[in-house]
Amino acid sequence: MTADISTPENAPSAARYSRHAKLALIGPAGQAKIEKSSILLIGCGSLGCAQAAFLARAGVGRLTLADRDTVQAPNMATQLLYDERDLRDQAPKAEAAARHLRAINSGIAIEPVVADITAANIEPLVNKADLVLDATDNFETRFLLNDAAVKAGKPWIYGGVLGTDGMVMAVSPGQGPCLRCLFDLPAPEDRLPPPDVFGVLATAAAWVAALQTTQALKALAGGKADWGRMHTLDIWNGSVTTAEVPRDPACPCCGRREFRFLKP
Amino acid sequence: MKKIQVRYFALVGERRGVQTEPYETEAATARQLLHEIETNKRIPLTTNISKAMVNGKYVEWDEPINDGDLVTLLSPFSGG
Repeated sequence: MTADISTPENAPSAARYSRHAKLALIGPAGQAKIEKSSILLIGCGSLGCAQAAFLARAGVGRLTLADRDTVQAPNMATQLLYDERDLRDQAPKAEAAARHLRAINSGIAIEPVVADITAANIEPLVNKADLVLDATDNFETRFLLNDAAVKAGKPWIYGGVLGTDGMVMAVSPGQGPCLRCLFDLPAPEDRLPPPDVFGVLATAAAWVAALQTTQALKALAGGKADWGRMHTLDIWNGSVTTAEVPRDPACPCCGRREFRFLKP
Repeated sequence: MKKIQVRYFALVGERRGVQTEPYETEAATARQLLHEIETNKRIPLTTNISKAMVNGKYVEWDEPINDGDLVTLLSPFSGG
């Protein structure tokens, strides 16, 4: 008599991911591609927590989580992965997120990177990923990511949240505009307030993260993401505005390939 | 005087969410409109960190503004 060693947590991936595989838009072939994919998440805050949970449950083969911060009290309302033990320990977010994600899905590779993402370390991280999800909390890192992703030819999904509003745009170098085709320079922090001053609604962040993750899964599964379409979300009024972003042939990043943010 | 609609996203002060309001202006271009609104309403937008849409399409700052236009002013959101 053969012992049945299967347990709910190590069920075959066909069963585990069947809800997604049964979607005609993904299918078994698309799910298989997702399971072989590697995604870099830059930031483990309100966007990163939600993105990472969706991606781990979707079975993305490798997740690299980069964040420099530790869990603090104001994070608890909007950053869905952390618990009071993480808060008490002031755990590094990347490590705490990785621990919780391993409890969600032990069958994927999860690599925490506790570091400030700078011009000195971003390129190797971007180069080994198939796609990058933006969950940063500042413009400087986004423009750095835009440079690194365009230089490497890797798709990335911009997402930002403020108050009850958010923005999402999928960037695929060579297939559409990049962030600098739209916004020339990072906004100085004193001109536009960050969420710790302005506030942020957790559901707005989760909505932005859900749309970013959807774009990522579409791209990984083989379908086309909405390259170059800026979605602007207002969850308080339940509205989404979408507009095509034109590519700028004179863009200093994707047009002239100057990559000024990668220079120390 | 041109009668237009101006839409804002998540700006500072008491504004929250998307707000669209009627606006009367003599501004000839999106750039002039931005400077006028920045002066009149104290909204901290500048052309090198913000973007304008006219009637749902992203435009350059020299785009003409015409009677009846819907002009959307937005800046990238930093939070994550």
